Amino acid sequence: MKLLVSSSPHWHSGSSEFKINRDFIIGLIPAVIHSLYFFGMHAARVISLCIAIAILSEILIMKVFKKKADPYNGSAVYLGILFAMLLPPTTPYWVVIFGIFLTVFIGREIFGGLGSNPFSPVLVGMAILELSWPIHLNVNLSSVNYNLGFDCHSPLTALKSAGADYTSKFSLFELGLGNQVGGIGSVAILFIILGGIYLLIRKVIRWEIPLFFAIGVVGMAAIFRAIDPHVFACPWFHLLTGNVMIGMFFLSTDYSSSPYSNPGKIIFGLGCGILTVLFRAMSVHEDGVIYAILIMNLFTPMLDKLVRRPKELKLHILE
Amino acid sequence: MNSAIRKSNRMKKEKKFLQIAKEKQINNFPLPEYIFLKVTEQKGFKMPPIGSRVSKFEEIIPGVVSPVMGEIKEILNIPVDEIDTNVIKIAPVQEEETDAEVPDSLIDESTDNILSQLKKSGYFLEEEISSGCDIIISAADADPLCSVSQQILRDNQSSLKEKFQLFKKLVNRDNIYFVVAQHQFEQVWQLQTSGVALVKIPSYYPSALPEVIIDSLKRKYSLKSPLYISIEDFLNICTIAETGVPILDKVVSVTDFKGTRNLRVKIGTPVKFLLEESELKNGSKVIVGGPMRGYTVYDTDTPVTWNISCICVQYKDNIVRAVNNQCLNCGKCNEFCPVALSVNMITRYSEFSNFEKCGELDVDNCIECGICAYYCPAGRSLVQLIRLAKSELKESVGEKEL
Repeated sequence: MKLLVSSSPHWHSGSSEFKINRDFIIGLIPAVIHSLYFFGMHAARVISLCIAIAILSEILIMKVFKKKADPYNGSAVYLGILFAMLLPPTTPYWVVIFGIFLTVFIGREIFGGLGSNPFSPVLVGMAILELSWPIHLNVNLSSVNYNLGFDCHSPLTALKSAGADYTSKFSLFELGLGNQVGGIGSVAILFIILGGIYLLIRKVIRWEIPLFFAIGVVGMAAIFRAIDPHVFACPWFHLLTGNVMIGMFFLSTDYSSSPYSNPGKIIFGLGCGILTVLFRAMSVHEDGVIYAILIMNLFTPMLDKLVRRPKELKLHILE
Repeated sequence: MNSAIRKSNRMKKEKKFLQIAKEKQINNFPLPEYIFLKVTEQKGFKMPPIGSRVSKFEEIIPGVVSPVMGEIKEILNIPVDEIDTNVIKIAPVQEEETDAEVPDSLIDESTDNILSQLKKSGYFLEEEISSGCDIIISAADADPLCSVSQQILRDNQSSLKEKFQLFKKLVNRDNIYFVVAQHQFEQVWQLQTSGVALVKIPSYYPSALPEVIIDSLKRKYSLKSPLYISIEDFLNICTIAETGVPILDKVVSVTDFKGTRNLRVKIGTPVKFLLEESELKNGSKVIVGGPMRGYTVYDTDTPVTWNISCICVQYKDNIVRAVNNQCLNCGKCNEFCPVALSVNMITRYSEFSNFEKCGELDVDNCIECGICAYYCPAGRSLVQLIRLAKSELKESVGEKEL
């Protein structure tokens, strides 16, 4: 009889990349249902195109790089769904294909694949698309042919063009339910919160980044509001519009591009929130979440140096 | 009501961690076909002739006491505790019912007498007793899945008080620290008045490691080089001092990760006999010493020694494969590391042979508990990478000194 020998430890909790990606996908399912309910086959087209191209491009890129592709670990599927959530329903198919290919290629594989990307891959693809074809990603134009049962005027466009007083026609309750135009899934605020709570309960993501992201948004918006309430919208409006929620729970918590140390996570979240409001208030962009998180991704290696390294045991076994 | 809520909250909080095993009844294991006795001293002593009879508790050569009556079969060289050692193979014979003389209690005799009797059972306490160090007695098992100490505590909770008084008299010491896992703390509540410092530790995995216990107690009570013994050793010492009869039994947990059996076996029993119930096949793993820090054996003839308290069998489909997946940077390893290392950075530096950076991140503090690799979703061989970094660092320091 031949026995196997190896060095310790000999036990594993059973967690895996697949299980983590599965949890992320489950967290997005409420938002997917929301998008299918409002936009029907158009949303289904964008989502399925994204998933298919994400998997295909990962396999293709791995072939070119002569690495072993593992499309079954679910990371490509998750990237596809997350990317689709940010797109308007009428995005042309070639923009979708180009965007998701860039997401997988420039966002992730070019840096060495899963776990090595310095930026959240979805944001890289999204930023390239937004800067290259803003007309195809215009949320107001994309919703003209739909009868959604609510005001099809993007609240962020309204804020940018008409000022804060005009935004009072959007009720916060309606915004929270997801009755606003934007990406097909990113505006499903309530459902994204549900998905985010699922991720928090499953301990897939930690609470520091989402909480301090929200604190950053609300705090910075409150400061602006105090300066001039006619120009700058109220903090809760900022929190419930655009990509803030999906950014809080899904985009900024990307493992490899966010800090792993707790103090780093807190500063990272705060920075994302503050920059988001700065972009919205001071720049030409309507929604700054994408650029805010991308900029904070740059600081991740530096923030990781903030980790405290006690010289003694962390485990406090004595009271 | 309130305490119930608090208890359930605590349980929830602890669920996050790897729980240490709950108590399990101890059964006596029948006499095996043969046993192996480790030969500790060889110089100047003649090996006993093959075929000669030994009686129970006979000192075959100094330091080697036979736990059974039997016949010496042969002298072999097999791996014991990972080191190739000479062993004496003894085939036990059934004892005849004789009126064995009951030795007198040693309690009133001189300490030297007791110490020599303790030596027979493998307890060398002279130095510790004379140096006057503090004594830590742990009733929690280091490895999860092992429930030996917990069960021994449960079985002996009523007599612990007298045992402590006896032990204090024996070692002539007042400062004794008794470490108990949280879920068993109520069983030793009555000991509070017996002059022993009770220490409660959480019932999840890395907290019962000897390194962790010693380090924490050292800092809290400012102890100097304390002596760490398990509750099994403590009770054995007390019993030997009381009765004068050496104890050559060891309690081991035998587990296949699902069911656990606690068995009282003779020292030197080959592991093979303990695993008769499990279906070992090609490609199975036999782990001696618990799943987190134990070592694997290629030969099930290896005997039970004083250091072994847990034997695990892992079947082919449960075996954790060593894979070289990329780090996801999820931070689970850092979250659970008991010494707060940046495990993800250390292992990545180690993977790409940047060992000096590992040194800067205090890789030497690692106690190799394995909790990082247990939780790693990518299944990386984190502990192995840390060991590599440690040994490389040690070598480079040695080169510099040369």
